[in-house]
Amino acid sequence: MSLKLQIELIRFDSKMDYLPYSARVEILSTSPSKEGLVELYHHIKIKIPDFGFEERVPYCKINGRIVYKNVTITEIIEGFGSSITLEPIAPKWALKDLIIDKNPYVKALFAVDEILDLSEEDLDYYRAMLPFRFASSLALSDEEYLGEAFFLFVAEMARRYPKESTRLLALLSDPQKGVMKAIPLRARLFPLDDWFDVEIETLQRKILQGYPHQESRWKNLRESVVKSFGAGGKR
Amino acid sequence: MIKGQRFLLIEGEGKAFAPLAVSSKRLLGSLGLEIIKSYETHSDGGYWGRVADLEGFLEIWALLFSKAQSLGATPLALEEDSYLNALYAFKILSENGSLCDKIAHKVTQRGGEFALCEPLYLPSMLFESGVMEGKIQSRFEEFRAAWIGSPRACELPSSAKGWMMGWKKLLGLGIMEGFFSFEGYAQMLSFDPKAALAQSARLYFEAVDLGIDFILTTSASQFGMMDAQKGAILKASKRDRLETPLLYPAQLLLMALGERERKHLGIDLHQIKVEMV
Repeated sequence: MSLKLQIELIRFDSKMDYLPYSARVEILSTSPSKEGLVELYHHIKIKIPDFGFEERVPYCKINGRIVYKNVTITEIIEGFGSSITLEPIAPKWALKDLIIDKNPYVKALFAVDEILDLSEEDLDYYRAMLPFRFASSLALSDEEYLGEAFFLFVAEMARRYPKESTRLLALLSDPQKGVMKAIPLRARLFPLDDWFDVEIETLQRKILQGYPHQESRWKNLRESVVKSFGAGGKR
Repeated sequence: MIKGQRFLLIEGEGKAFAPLAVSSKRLLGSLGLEIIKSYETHSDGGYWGRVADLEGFLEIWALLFSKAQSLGATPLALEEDSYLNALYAFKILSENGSLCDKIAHKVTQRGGEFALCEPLYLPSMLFESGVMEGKIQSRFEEFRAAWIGSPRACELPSSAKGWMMGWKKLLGLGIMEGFFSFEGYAQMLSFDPKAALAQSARLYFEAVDLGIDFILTTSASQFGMMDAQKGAILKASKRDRLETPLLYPAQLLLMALGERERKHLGIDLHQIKVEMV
């Protein structure tokens, strides 16, 4: 079955444009249940030859939600309808349409680099977390905030390198930029999945329960919360 | 579902909860529903409660469920934060047998008889029961609202989400939602108050800038950040004015039933003045 998709594409070329602008394009997919994001981008490129995207990093935002893994055109239409807005995961870092500057993201690894000798497999995992870097409003509006991608990556590295888990998790406990500020991402992701939120809550639990360093600020928060149990009186 | 059913209200504390408690009790009373409001219970610590000490958190909820059962009542959450916490506890206690046994033992040690009963959520319960039908005196066709829920509203089961569509039809109210509907920063207040206020101010004005008449909030923590801290939010926003009020669903429904008395609606307790048209 063929399916049509109307796309409002948010375009920007950092070499030429002062502001982003939109272009409308309609594509027809003859095998929508088999074609994914990359095929979708190729359809667009037929209509807009200078459309910019990366096959290796196909993540995007559709109707404001982060598409963090490959999905078929059928799934896109089921999730959003046949008219969508397509934009890069991080408009602020856009170089050319869906292509973004990844240098700031890669630079954030330096703190982990000081602790671990990261393998290519580890780096692949970090690259796979890229879409989560821009998933929350906090990550978009607070430059200091380390972001959910970094938290998820550190959690995985702590599992892979348990001997270094204390030092790794210490990277996340800062009250201004760390994981305790994170809120659920689920509403912002497509497809829906709560794995990320469960992982973040597990990290928050560790820190609040005194891991890795029994930091007094978190110990105090935990104690005041636990003390409040049973202190309510009449509700 | 409703006939003969008694409700044990799951209430909170403080400035943010007071208008909700006043209006909800008035609303339930107006609809002839039996409520039990003298039950003494304890704080569950909010979101940090479940993160900091899961067993302590579960014990608090197990005590409430057990008490409700002993009174022949159904626990009823008036807003989303407490509903989500109650539901989280109910789900774990239902699915994790060994943890449930441990918590049940603690309830017994405290002199109770452990029982599990599923909590209900006020807006859903009122919509699903049909108890409002035929009682609406005022509709809100000329008004537009933006919905701001709990930051964990995405954890709501689909059964607890249908009420808003129903209400749009029942009340004729335009309710807009966006990503701002699923964000909230009250949990940061204890360790980064500056950021908590700045982010809450951003959220408030994202909704207000849609040109709405009021914010419909289903979360006491959001009300606490935006209405109860009006002055701090205004300062953090760097705007000149902050006038768009927040309303809880119970207040809106009570208005729909024809209630105009500010004290009965609980709007006399708001920091952002609610002007009745």
